[in-house]
Amino acid sequence: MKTESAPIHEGAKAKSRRRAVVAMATAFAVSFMAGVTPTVANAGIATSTVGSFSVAGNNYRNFARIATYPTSNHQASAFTHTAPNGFTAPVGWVGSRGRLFTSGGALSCEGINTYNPSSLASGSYHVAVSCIRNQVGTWYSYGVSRAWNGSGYNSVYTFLSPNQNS
Amino acid sequence: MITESSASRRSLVLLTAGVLGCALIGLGAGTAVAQVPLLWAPAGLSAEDGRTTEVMVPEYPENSSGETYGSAAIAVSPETEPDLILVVATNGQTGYVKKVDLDSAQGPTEFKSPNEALEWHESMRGSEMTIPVYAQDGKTAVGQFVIYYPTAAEEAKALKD
Repeated sequence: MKTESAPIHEGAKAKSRRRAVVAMATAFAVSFMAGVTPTVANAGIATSTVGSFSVAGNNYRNFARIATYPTSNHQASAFTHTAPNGFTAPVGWVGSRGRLFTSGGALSCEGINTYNPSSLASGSYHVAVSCIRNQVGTWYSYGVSRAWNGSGYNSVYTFLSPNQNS
Repeated sequence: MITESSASRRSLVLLTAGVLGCALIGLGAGTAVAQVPLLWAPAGLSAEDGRTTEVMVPEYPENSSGETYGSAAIAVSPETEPDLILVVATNGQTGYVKKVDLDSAQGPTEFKSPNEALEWHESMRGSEMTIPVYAQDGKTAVGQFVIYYPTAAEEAKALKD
């Protein structure tokens, strides 16, 4: 009897170990997905982290915004926001350009650089938009900000916006 | 002496600890993956909360002509964009535009003053520039890419949306 019960006991132990491994793997997978979830594409408006940069001793803030409207002809467009931070920018000092990317990283639409047509107070954003796409897809915004350095413009990218569905 | 029930309790405690540990590790890993855009910060840019990240310059493959090609979305500055930039052509095909062509749509390389930049922008309103889209070899044409300069009214409407 003793010689037969040992293998049975070992089998139960192995089964228990397998169950433990499955339970731990499941816990890891579920928690991993919970951590990643904020990046899953939704529809509507989403913005990137606000970035800070300096040009010729002046500070600026920028961010990218993506807007999608699945029920409005599947519209998608990308915006770039740039603002002086701590000073008033004279006319033409602050530039923005919207760029709309597919989720695969292809540039779908390139806007043009536009500049503030009137002086811009600290914290007021100059906004530029890419062209508008009307098609089903997943998109993100990755903008370009420009700032006058005294003899030309410095270009600084924004952070990437989250993906959004149109 | 270890009884069967105390051994079972001990393995239950170990299992619970293991599951909780894995859940925490998973949550941390998932959150880290979600933060990847912040890890790949554009050059000269830092996050508002004071986080400054190291710039990671992308490396692109080269075609037979020695031109780099890839997505501009992984570049961290205009200087780190590839020679051939991945785009969607007007015919829906994916291909590459030359960076020099795309840059030329934004006007002269250097404006002498902010007023010159504003004047150039105004002069382009309502027009468009079409540039060729190539295959990865940078030679075979596969379509076109259009940069449109909206009128003031069109721009105002688009900004409202």
